[in-house]
Amino acid sequence: MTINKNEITAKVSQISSLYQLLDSKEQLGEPCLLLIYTDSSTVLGADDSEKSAVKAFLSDAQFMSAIVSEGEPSEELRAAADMCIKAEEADEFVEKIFKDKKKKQIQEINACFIAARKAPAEKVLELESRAFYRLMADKNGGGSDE
Amino acid sequence: MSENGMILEEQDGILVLSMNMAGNNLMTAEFLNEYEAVMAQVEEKAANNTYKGLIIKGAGRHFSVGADVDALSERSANESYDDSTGELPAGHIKQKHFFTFLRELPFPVVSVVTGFCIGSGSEIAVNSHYRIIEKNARVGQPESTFGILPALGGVARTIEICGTKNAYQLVMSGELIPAEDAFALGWADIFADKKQGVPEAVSLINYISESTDKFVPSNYKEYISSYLKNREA
Repeated sequence: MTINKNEITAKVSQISSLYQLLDSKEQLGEPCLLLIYTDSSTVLGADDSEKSAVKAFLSDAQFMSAIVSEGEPSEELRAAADMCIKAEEADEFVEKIFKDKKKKQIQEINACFIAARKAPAEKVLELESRAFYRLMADKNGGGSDE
Repeated sequence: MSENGMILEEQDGILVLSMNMAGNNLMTAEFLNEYEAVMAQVEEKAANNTYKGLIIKGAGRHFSVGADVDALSERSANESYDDSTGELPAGHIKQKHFFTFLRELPFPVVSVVTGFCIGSGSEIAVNSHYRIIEKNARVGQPESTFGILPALGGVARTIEICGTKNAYQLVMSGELIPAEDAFALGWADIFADKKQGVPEAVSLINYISESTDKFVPSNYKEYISSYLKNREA
C-alpha cells in the first residue's frame, strides 16, 4: 500500500484490502479527504470481522473518504465510504472543491458532512450555524469567542 | 408585477409568495426583515390548516441573488457568539427558523426557481419540500468561496436532497450550476420550460391535496415520487 499525502488529502493506492488502512492510521495523518484508489481486486476485508472494522473506521473517521476507481466499485466498497469518484475525474474533483480554501474551513464544512453520516438533520443544522460563526469570526479578523 | 416587497396571495387555496425586493431579491437586512415578517404570516396561516400548499417564487426574472457578503460580514461581527457555550445569537436563531420551518409546514412548499438562485436564496429553495427549476436558471451555494459556509440549512438540506457526494461538491466548490445539472444532481425535483414552473407547482400541490387526507411533512419524498410516476403514466 502506498500513501501520498499533503495538508488536505491523503491518497492511498496499491491497496488490496481496505483493512490495511487500520494498520496505517498514523501514516494517514489528519487529511480532510482520504482518497482510496482501488482496482477490481480490492476488497473491503477478508471476512465479516475485518469488514465490520473497516466500516466502523470509516464511519467514525474525522475525515471524508472516497473510493476512487476506474470501473464500478463493489457495493460494499461503495457503501463503506462517503462517496465514489471515477479515477479520471479525481484530480479535477479535488482541485475544484478545495481550491483557495484553508484547512480550517474545510474541516468546519467536513464536520457537518461527518455528522450527517449518523446524526439527524437537526444536528447538522446546529453544526452549520456554529461553524458559520467561527469562520465568520476568522474572516472578520478575530477569534470566534466574542 | 409593480408592487414591491413580499407579496403573499391566495389563489384557489394555494398560498403564493412572490418575492419582489430590490436588486433581484438581494438579501439585505431589509429583505430579511420583510422575509421574516411574511413567513410569520405564513406560519400563522398554516396553523389554520386550510391551505393546500405554498409556492415561493421570484416576482421578476430571478428567484434571489443571495446575500450581500459584506453586509453579512458586518452584521455577524455585531452579533455575539460564544463558542465555549455554543449559544447562537438570537437573531440567527429567529432567522434560521423562518428558513427551516418551511420543511415542517402542514402543506407542501414548492420553490419555483428561475434565473439566479444563489446563496441564502438557494437556502429558501432547499428548505422547501420541492424545487421546480426552469430552463436557464442557475443555482449554487458560493459561501465557501468567501471563506464561510451556508448556515441557513444549505448544508444539511443539500445533503438530504442531493446525497453526500453531490452536496459535498456543491457546498465545498461553491460553483454555480445550470438548471439541467441541478436537476441531474437531484437538487431539483422537476425541470420545467420557461414560464411553466408555477403551473407545474400548482399541479403538484393539487395532486398531493387530492391524493392524501393529510400531508405528512416527513413523507415529502413519497409524494413527489407518486406525482412523477402518475405524470409519466
